[in-house]
Amino acid sequence: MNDFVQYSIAGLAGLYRSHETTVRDVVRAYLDVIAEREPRTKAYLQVFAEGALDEAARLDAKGYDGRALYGVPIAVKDNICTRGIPTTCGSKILEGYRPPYDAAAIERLKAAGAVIIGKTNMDEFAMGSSTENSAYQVTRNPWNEGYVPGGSSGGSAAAVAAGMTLAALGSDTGGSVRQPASLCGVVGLKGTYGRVSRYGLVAFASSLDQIGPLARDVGDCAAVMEVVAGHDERDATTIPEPAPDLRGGLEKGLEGLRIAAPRDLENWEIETSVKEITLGTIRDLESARMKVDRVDLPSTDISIASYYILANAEASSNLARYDGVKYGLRSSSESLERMYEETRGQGFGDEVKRRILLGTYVLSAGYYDAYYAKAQKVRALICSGFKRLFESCDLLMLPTSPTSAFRLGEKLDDPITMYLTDVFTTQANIAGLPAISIPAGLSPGGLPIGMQLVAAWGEEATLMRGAFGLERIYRFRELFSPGSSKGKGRHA
Amino acid sequence: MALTEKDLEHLEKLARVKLSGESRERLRAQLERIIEFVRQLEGVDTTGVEARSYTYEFKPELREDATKPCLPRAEVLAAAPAKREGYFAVPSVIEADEL
Repeated sequence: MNDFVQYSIAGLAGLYRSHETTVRDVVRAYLDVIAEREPRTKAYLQVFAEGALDEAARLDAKGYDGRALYGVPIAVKDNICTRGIPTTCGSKILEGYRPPYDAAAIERLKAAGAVIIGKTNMDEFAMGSSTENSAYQVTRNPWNEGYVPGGSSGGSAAAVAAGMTLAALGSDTGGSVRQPASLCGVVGLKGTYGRVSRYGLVAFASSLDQIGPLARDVGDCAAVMEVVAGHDERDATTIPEPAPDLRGGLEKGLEGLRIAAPRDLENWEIETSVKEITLGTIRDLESARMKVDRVDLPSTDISIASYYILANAEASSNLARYDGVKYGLRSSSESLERMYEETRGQGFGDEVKRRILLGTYVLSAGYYDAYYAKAQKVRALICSGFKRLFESCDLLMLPTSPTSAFRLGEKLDDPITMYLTDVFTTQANIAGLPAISIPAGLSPGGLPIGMQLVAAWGEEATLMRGAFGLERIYRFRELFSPGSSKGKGRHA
Repeated sequence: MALTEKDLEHLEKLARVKLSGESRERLRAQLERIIEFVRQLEGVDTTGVEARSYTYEFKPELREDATKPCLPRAEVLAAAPAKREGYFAVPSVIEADEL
């Protein structure tokens, strides 16, 4: 019966349509995997076993109705508000907080017939690249439990990789969907800024944050994106158009697309296996008579620095709302001022404090122009650099992360080394561009390595086509699975 | 660029975050290094470049300035650590003799 967990969204729809299974049986099959894998993986902060089975029973009673995600189990990162259900952002300051409303993305999942199966672990307030900054638990990489799943959406990526959900939602401010997808061997998509409503996504850096899906393959990822994307008047920055059709053109794959890759890739100081898989992909494309243009990347070196200024400036402002007044933790104190300071001192973890203080610093009198305004100008340069780049190509291909998964604890005490794991992902956020990570192969140590594609503003359909084309080349799911990484695929 | 203990106290005050004694020196040293790291932007030539705070390539439309239904007061207050008579309650801000 556990076979049901192998089906894609389209495959499940076929089973439901022909009455070959029920939503209850599918949800039970996933709950069985959770019972087996979750005690060691710790991807979930909560599993809604009862709620999911109740919803499944309701769907079964109505019968298959053709909705896009009818009976599809989906896990949700714990910074996306779920009405009446704890939403902690991995922080003690929001322990026990139950939002009085659903995020727009949750409303849309429910309206499409999805079954929300649980809330996933994350770095506190999405600040981190390993999920080790969660105030609650450490999530382990399903491919090797001694390694991190990446972050900040590490719980979502690990849950998908371990087969504990069909798909998941994460959020991506500087790579937080794509990097854990890469480290866990799953597909992770960040749309164009404004593609998915941020209504109900707990704000980290509002000009960079986007909700994005994680799934086992490009088709499932596209199907979930089609549901959660689209204009929402409650988020004035959403693109004023309906969700684009992402699945219609997938079969065309890479055909006719102009692909660019970094010119100096050979000299990059990154993990050898990441470099070899990237160069191997370029060779494969070229031998399939596709031209890969080698281009200079717009500002890789300065994007991380501008990202950490912009993101943390916005975070220091956004996180001002956690003051012990409206929700969450309050440390009792005689005076209001002391209450603020102590609540925040006790409720936030070290990484969140570091970032709030850095953001406060770059916005403070005397430093604003030198740091914040400067970073905004660098942002303008990065945006125009990408605009020029996409005049002569359709997709930029580069690694998602400079390394495969690293060991638990390895980078925890060295913030800058941790920040540098985002070196290839922050540009897409800074410029608001759609980007995706697709599993490409395994390192000699048996850990997944992801390839990233970036497309021009608003060009998700092109992005997904390209990703589907690469997926067909890599055949990652056919060749590898956590725990049985033998096979003759792309080992670096 | 040095971040002194005095600078750190100023930031704590601005950000309303109280750092505990044991972690503050570690945090100060880390912040100093992070600031040093992000200072590399100084070397980027941005002459004539306008600062950009957004990336969207459309003109966001403002919605009509009209009231709409909002969340029920009781549901919103349910999450508050302290409330009184339908309001958030906080420690007193004004001393009795100031009234």
